Amino acid sequence: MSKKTLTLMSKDKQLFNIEEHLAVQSVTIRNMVKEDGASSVIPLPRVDSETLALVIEYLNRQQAPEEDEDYVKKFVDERGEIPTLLELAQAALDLDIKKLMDAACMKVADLIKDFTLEEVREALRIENDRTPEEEKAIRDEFQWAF
Amino acid sequence: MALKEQSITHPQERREKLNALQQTLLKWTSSSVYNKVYKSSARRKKHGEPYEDDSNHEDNGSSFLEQKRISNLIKLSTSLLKFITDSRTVGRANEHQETCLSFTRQYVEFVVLNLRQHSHGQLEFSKENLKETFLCLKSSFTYAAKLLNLDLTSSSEASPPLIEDHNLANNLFDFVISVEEYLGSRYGVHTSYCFCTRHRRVGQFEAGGLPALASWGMRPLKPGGLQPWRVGHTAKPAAFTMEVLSEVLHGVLVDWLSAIRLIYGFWFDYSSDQIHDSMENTIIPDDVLCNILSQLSAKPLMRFRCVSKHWNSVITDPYFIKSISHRRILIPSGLTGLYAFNPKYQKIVKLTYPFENQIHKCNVIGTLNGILLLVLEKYFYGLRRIFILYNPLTRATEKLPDLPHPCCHWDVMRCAYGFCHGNIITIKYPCDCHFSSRDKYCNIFSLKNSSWTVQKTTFTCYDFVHRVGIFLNGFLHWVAFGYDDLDNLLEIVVLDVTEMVAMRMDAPRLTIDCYNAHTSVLGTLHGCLCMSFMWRNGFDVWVKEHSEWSKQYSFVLPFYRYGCPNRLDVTILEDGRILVKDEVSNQIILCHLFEHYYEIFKCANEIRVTSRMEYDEYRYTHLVGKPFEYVESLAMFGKNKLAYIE
Repeated sequence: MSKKTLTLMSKDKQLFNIEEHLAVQSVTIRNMVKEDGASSVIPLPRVDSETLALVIEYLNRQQAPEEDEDYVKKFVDERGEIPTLLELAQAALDLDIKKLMDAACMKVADLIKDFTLEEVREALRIENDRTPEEEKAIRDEFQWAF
Repeated sequence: MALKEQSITHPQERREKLNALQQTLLKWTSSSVYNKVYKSSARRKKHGEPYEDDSNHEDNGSSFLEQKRISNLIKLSTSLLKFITDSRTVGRANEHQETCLSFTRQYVEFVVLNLRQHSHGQLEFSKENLKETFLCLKSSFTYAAKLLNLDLTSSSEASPPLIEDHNLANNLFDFVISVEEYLGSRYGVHTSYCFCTRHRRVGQFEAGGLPALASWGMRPLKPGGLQPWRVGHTAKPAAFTMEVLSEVLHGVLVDWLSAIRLIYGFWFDYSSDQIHDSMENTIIPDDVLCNILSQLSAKPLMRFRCVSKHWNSVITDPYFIKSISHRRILIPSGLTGLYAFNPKYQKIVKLTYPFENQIHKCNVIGTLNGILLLVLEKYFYGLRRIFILYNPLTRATEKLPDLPHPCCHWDVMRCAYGFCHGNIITIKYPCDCHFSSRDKYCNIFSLKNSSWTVQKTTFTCYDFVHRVGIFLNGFLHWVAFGYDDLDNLLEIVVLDVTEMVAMRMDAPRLTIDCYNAHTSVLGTLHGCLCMSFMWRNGFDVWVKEHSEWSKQYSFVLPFYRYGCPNRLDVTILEDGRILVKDEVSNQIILCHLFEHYYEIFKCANEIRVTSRMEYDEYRYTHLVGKPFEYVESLAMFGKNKLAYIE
């Protein structure tokens, strides 16, 4: 039986090949293959090439199902930087790969859980649009959490 | 006697009056605002052309005013919708179902119309305004969907959903599409996703929803698909019956959505979308953000409400909290405070609460919507009691008003509590009640009115084995020792909470030396009363069905080969689970009756209910509360808010 190959295209127009039976772990790709056989290139306009390379590395894993959980954990642990993980999570969201998405999000949550507010804003590039008064009100209400 | 009658009818009357008041208010608001919204949108339709001329003359003033007016109207309607939905949830607005629905429908239509105008350039929202408006739209969508959900779940074959329900469902689809089309894809996907996941469970759609969805799926396939969306409801395929559709939609919808989401991404050119740029400071998609936040524990979650407004709105979204909240078991401990225990994570967390540094015995009387009702008891020249509301997730507390006579010299054994229909019932006897024929009273605290009332009751004297009663089918049940009985036999006291009449019920017939009285507990199993008795190395569960007790389950804990330790506390949780707290070896054993297996959780050694000295003294053993199961929520207190909790 010959293995079919699919081609994925990242945001910066780089092409990646992947075998079909591995690619269909992504629910989105599975649906597309079902619909039109997906003979052409599948464009992923929101995923950059570095992230897509990671996703493909993940999809290409050769793991027994029972070791899968550990593998996903290790996989995201090795790439423990928040921006990378967020990109990965977004790509996993677009491609609908639940395990990868959950693992990436869990890792991010794990990293930021002890951060101060400023550190969180910096790490996730979030603008502070709260006034000091509003912040103080929440601080007062939930003193135990700070 | 007259006094007594007054005390009974008074709260009822008041409740009725309040009901009537609220209903009038509801009717008035929905119909008048409905007229206003409807009329103004009609007016715009009529005067559509002059407006267009105006904007061509770059009359910024009028378009600014118009924009302001619409965004205000949207805000107003959103809060009204919230009010309507809340009232429906409490079941106040059943008679005005149709008015409520048509108001919601009109509002949704109004929004769709305006969004279309926005895209045509007749109406320009500024960027800041747009973001605000979108937040409003998002929440009003949630409320509308909730309203619809309420209707659909309450409908049955006997009372099919109204036509208005179908219209509203269709309009909500339009709404999703309009948001998607005119404000940018991220918003549309978010709202629609919420909608569809919520409605998959109900699985009832009207046929008209299909063309709308289909056109939504098709539209992005056309690269130049920026023409206004048009699907007439005339295209409604009448041949589809609701049953067929619901089945189809049930399974397909979510898969389909993810596909649509991706296809959409291909054709939508993000860089050219100006609106998208202005929202760029929220880099993380909501789905990712929700997933990240859902992994956090309560402490960082509450802290991160300060990160940004958006994070706060995500965290305080009731649906978000509902999706992440877990069942937890609260373990009160007399000496060291409160602990929350989650079997899933095998983690036992210490909670903080006020008064914890004073020596109090803590009992959980009940829980509603994630809020626990605690009574703290202190023995100091008599019994002092403090009632507090406590939310373990937010750690918020509120002290309830004191009992009319907070400190009295009652015997501590003769106090009991119960919780039902939003009322706390406390029962106490004077020490000499055995000898006197004085009337017995109980105090009732209504959470709604936040006040205590006194009612006469017919209790004879009992020593309660556990303080907190089990509420089932309109009756509160306690295990107690009857005083009149010379044998001191264990029996069950039953209180009819409407009439406040007490009765006694026989406990299962066992020989008295088989069990230790304070290891016998009441609980419920499949809606029946059940009772568990500890044996040498296990326990039996008796269930009362058709007014007969029968032994239905027997559970052996093999590691208690040489007999159970004295300090063992048994609690019957829901779904046939029994929690055994072993204070000697500091572990919690969770037994699953139906599946017949048990789990053991080791805990830190400070989880003790009583000190050794106290424990040896029989009368203190049962004064400390039993573990209690609750579901986390962000529910708040306050007189008005509590009314909606029920």
